[in-house]
Amino acid sequence: MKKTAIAMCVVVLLAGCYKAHDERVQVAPGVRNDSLGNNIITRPLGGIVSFVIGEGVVVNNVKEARTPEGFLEVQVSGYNQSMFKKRFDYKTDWMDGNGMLIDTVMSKWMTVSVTPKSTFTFKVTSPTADSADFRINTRIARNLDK
Amino acid sequence: MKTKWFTAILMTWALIIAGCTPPTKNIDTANDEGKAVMELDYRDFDKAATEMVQSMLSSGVFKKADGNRYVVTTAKIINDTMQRIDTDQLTFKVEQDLINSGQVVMTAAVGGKGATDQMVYQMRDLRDSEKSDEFKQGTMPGKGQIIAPELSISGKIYQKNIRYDNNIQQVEYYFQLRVAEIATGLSYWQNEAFIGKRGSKKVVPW
Repeated sequence: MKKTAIAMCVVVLLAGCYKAHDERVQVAPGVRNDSLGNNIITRPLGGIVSFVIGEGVVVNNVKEARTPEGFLEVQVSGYNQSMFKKRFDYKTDWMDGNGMLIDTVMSKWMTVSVTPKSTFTFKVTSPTADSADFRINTRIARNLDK
Repeated sequence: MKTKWFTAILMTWALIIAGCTPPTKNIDTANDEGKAVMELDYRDFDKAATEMVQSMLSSGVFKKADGNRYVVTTAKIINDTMQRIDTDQLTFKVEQDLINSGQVVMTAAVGGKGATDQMVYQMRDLRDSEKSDEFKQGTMPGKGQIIAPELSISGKIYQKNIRYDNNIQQVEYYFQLRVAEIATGLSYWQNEAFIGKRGSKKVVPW
């Protein structure tokens, strides 16, 4: 009986006062209140699991819109599922109406850094109003400070 | 015998030195994963130019009310870094994409460093000289033909060195561009691209 009570107390302490909040606000683990699944004891374990199963970045949404000038704007949103910071480069290739590649200075590698368990969003604008389609490639970002 | 030994040692040294020299390779600019450098390299200018053009085009600053294209010039871009930078490394890329966007026309008749194409004025000097008779008159540029720019792009690149700790320094580079209307002097757009580097204090960033 005593052991059960202690265990219950520990669970309550670990759970803390974490409450679900507006999803548009991301509060990183360690910043927000601890929960049962995410606290000072389980966090390192979660990190190991995250590393072993190879969690990374997922793209949740790709939005397209035309500016009043006719430029194609693309917004990419995603989530870093990992317990670690993820950094990657992306490069956008733009195609015209015939599917031909548009030569532009803007097709260069740009870097995105995403904090653990957080969302990210980046936006790209086409170089001409004739741009009809796009391809976005990614690679691991190197040469960055820790 | 001594000469033979000397030659052998000399040849061995030559071979060792030749073996240690890294071979020259072309940079894979499409997928360059080379080490970062403390100075500004082409990747930094590419990033800054991409950021600037993206911001300019998406801002709609070049949309003219009457549907025509703006005539744009590049004014002075100040190099306030410790490096010898040709600021054209930035402006040329920006101008290239602005022209290709179909939104603006760049003028080669005026600019921060004078006319970007000296031939505009050389032909006029020829027109007004005695050699003018050598040319078919109808092909010579007439007076009052040059179109004045309506918008001007100006800016600055500056560098700040900070002591990070005993062995590491932080070098910050700021690329600032501004688009102003020449007639009114009003600034319609401006943006700053930042590139920061940390590295050994022993490396001199200039």
